[in-house]
Amino acid sequence: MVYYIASLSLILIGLYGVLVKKNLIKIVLSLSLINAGIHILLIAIGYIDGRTAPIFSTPELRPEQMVDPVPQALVLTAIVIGLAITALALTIVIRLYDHHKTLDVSKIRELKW
Amino acid sequence: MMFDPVLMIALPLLAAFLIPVINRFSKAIPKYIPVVVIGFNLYESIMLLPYSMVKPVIVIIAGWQPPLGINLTIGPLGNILALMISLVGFVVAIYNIKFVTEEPTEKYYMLFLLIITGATGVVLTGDLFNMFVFLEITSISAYALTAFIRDRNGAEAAFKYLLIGGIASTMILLGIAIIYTYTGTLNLADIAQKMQYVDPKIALAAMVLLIVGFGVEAELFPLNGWAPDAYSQAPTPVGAVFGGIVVKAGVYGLARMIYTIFNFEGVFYFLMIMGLITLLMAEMSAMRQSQIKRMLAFSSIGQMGLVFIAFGLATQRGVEGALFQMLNHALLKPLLFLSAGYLVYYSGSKNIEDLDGMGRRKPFLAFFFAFGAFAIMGLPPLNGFWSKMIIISETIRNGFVIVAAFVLAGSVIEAVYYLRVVGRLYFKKHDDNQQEKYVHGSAIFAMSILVILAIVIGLYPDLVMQYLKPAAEELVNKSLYIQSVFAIN
Amino acid sequence: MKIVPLILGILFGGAVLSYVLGKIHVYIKIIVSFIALLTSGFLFLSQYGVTDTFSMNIAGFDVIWRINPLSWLFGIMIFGFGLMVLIYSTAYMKGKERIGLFCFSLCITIASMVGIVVSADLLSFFFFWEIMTWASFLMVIYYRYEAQKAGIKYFVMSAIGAYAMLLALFMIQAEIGSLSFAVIAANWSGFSIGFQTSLILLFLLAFGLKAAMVPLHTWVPDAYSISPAPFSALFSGVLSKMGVFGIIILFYVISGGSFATQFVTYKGVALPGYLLAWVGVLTALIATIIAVVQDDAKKLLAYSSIGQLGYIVMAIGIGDSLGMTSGLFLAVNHTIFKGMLFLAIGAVFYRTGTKKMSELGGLITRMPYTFFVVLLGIITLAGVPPLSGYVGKWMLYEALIQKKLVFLAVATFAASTIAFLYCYRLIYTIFLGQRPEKFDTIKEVPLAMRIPMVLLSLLTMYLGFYPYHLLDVIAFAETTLFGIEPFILKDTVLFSQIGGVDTITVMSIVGVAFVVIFIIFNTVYKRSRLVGLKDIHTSGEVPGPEINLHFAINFYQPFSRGVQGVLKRSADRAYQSIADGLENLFDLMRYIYTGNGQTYAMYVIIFLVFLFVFGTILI
Repeated sequence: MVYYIASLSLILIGLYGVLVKKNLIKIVLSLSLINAGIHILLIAIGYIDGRTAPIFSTPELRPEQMVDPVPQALVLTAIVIGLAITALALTIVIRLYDHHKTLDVSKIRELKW
Repeated sequence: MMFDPVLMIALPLLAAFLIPVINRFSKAIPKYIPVVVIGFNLYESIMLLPYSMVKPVIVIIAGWQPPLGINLTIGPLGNILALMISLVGFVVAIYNIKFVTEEPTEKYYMLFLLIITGATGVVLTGDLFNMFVFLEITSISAYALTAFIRDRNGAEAAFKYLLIGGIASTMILLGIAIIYTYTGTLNLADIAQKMQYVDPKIALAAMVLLIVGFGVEAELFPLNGWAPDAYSQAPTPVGAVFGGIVVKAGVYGLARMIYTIFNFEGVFYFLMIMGLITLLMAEMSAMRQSQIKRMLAFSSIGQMGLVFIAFGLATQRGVEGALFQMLNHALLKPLLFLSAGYLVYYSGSKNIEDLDGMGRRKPFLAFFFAFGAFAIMGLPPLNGFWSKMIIISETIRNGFVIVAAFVLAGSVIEAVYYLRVVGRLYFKKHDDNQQEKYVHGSAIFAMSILVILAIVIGLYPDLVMQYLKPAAEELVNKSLYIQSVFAIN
Repeated sequence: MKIVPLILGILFGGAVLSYVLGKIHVYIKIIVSFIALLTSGFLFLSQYGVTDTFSMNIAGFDVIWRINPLSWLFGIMIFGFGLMVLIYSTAYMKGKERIGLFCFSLCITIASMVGIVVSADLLSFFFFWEIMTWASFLMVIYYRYEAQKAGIKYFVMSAIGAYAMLLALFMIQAEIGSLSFAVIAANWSGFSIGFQTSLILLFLLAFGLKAAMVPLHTWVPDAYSISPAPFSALFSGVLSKMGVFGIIILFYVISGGSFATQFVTYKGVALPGYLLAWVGVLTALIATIIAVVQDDAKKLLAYSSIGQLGYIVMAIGIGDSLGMTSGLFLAVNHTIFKGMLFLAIGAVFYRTGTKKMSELGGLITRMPYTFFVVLLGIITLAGVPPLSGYVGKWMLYEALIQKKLVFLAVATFAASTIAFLYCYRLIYTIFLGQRPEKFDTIKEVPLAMRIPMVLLSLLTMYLGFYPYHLLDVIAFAETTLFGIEPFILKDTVLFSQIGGVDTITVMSIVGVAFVVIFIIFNTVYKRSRLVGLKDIHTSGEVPGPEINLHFAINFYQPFSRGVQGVLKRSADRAYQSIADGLENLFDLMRYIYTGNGQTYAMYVIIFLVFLFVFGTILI
């Protein structure tokens, strides 16, 4: 349960940051926060209390004793994607700063209407 | 001869990462690689047509039978969309050969191939999470390409696109998490089968998240704030790729969600209303744009609105109309973008005002633009006419006369802004003091392909209608889809 | 091979071929389009009385083409007149730029009009209708950027009309599941009155636009005057007739002629027809008044066309046998004489380079052929004997009086009388009076331009003497219309309940009178002598060559002053302000794209929350 609460609060904090914060880097961080929240949520879904990792390390370990492996595979992929987005976002932020000399998102609006 | 369909995804992916390596040895080769690879995709998707029309081609990867494992499910719909994507990709790849001069070109070709990989993957895969991954491949490459020209506006557009796209991707992931929790599977057909046992409130939450997530790529209003900026600031061929490929992947995802996975009746009405709003808002915004590419971007959004309206009808013929419209849009919007790209290149300005008199100096380019404009307005005997006819007739047949009237009003607005540009191209004199530049043969050839296809489809629409029918059936009749996936066991 | 697709194939193929091959040499262009027009024209001509139906299914729509007597009548108008225009333009367009585009648009326009008349279902009707619109649009914007505004006005108004038609035709399809004329006619009387009314209004919006019914006429003066002269002739001569054709289709074909039983009738005229007749006569009246005060010759002719189309529309609205006959006769007649006039004014423009009547004058000695063509044209237009216009007008009045539609008759008479004013203005200011010095050396136009004008003049004379040749065809065409009994006539006599007229007699009397008076004035009363233009005295001084004695400037000043109040209100300006207002409104909409990425992200979240709340409520 605690995982669910943690993940939801991370998602909400992230959303708050994306929508309210003016600083570009904070917005990118908030995006990562949302991502992290969802990753925890996915893991929490797959996790079942009292079970172990889905690795056949000992022959007596049966499938009923293992947690669901699929979410973990998903999370691994999702982390990579999140990383790619964050990295790209930060390079763009650097370039924006080069051109605009500001990190305030509300001041970077030359393309409009 | 037919190859393994997996190659349609694997080959572009491989080629994409080989390009930087090859570039070390030769600067000349990388520009031809996309033509060859996407040409293969085009060939393969044409060869697949006769098979997939009969029953979906299921490609089992690493011996995992559905619903386990990731497999490709190439039904009529996926095949048609893959064909569209490869066609647009092929044309743009030919166009790129001479047009792309901005360094580093090899990175451009790499990202371009990655978009093709991702979009093809989205339409061919039979797995929800896999679809998400491919969509992310497409959109991350798209963000990068938006910022490819390193000016201040490119970075700004890319950041907006990335911000909204990033939120969308988290939404999709969240939606997938919910679906996986309650169905325990990620195979599309399996989810569709098990979805009926899920509490409707939970299903609704998942659907809302997925609609918003795919809606961003599909340019659904009000999720399309990124589109005008990204279209206008990206290199021109990329604008064509957005209109012809990225959007199509998003629309496919959206349609797949609401038609196959979920079964809510009300969502279709909602989609129709949102489509109408998308169309009207886009056409109105396009009216007084001063930049040609921005205007084309809004026009593209408007066309997508029409597609949503047709999808919202949820009838066999309505979906046929929607797919037909998507096909026409995939032919015409690249044509407009590619010709506008050269026009902008020659006039040295993105503004519509500076295109005066281009019809005299660059007759081919101006003709291509005018042709695209006329076709997209739905004038007979060009291809846009038939899809519009089908959608309007089906809308009225289902009793939505008001919706049809508004669509037609939107078309009138569309006619006004396109004709203004065409009139400027041909009928406004301009001082001829700019130096003459040569129009590249490869670009002319690329655009000619699109023009010829538009005329052929316009004169003989049944050529594509015969393939659209089973594709539409796949969406409308979802039990057919589920059965055909499981029939393999 | 069925004959109708063959004809259309030759026409469209010829248009494309002439454009492509025309790149080689100018003459190939003209020859190819000429051959295409001629062969398909002869094929069409051979189809008199043959109803050969061609049908196919395309993109899920049924398409039916055939040539019935009504389409034959209109088709021959299109082919004959199109040929004249093509001959004329060989000389007129010589040396002009973009002849390829001109030839292409001309051929496509002709082809699409043929397509319209052979269509037996509403979808192919709409298909060709749209082709006609864009092809003619290309001609309106032919003269550079200044024409753009007129062009877009034309296209947008046409698009509104066409989309109204589209709405109506798919409403029909949704109701009965078919678009073929025959099926619609069979089911029309089953529609509710409200549905019928909305269909009629939507269709009339489309057809009224092309037929230039007030208040949908505002594109006409601009479009007619700004397109090249041969095309203006085609515009006025046959393109506007497509609107008339559409109205006939609506009133007597797809409605199954059932208006009289479905609606209230007034003096034997069904309400829609009666209202249409009033719209027609008002069109005639208003347009004629505006025509009188025009200084631009082509605008004058454009307004005159609107007025003449008003009569035709009125005649169709009355819609009994006599009314229809006069309507169709007037339509053919209008094609001929308005063609003559537009071609003649084009000839004047070709030589002098101006359309402004106040700058012209005294061209009679320099361009005698053109003068005679204009003279015959205005005689026909005014509807006085001995030319064919008289026959049509006579039948129109007779139809009105027979139905005892007194007010309509009076209004028609008033409009016809006012029309004399502009007829006189046209011939006086251009051909009579003092010739400006710069025009002293101009020559008559080339042969290729004279031939079509003279042929059309001969045709109007011929029809004045033998109107029954045309009336036979019209009567045959009427057999295909529902609810109309063909009109009975014998030889040269027009029979009706209140009296007849023998055209030969009338023409002979007029001819003899003319000759007698001519001879008398040249022999017995020969007191006249040749007077030079400046052979007058102004306060004892002999006017020099630079003094302008031509009264073309401020011609009809008292009249214009009198109607000034009426002209102040213009439908055109009203539309313009509506369009501007709408554009500004649309412009406001794009401010929703604020340019701030965070705002867009906010939209996404708001949309998500909205969807979620809305969805939860609905479930």
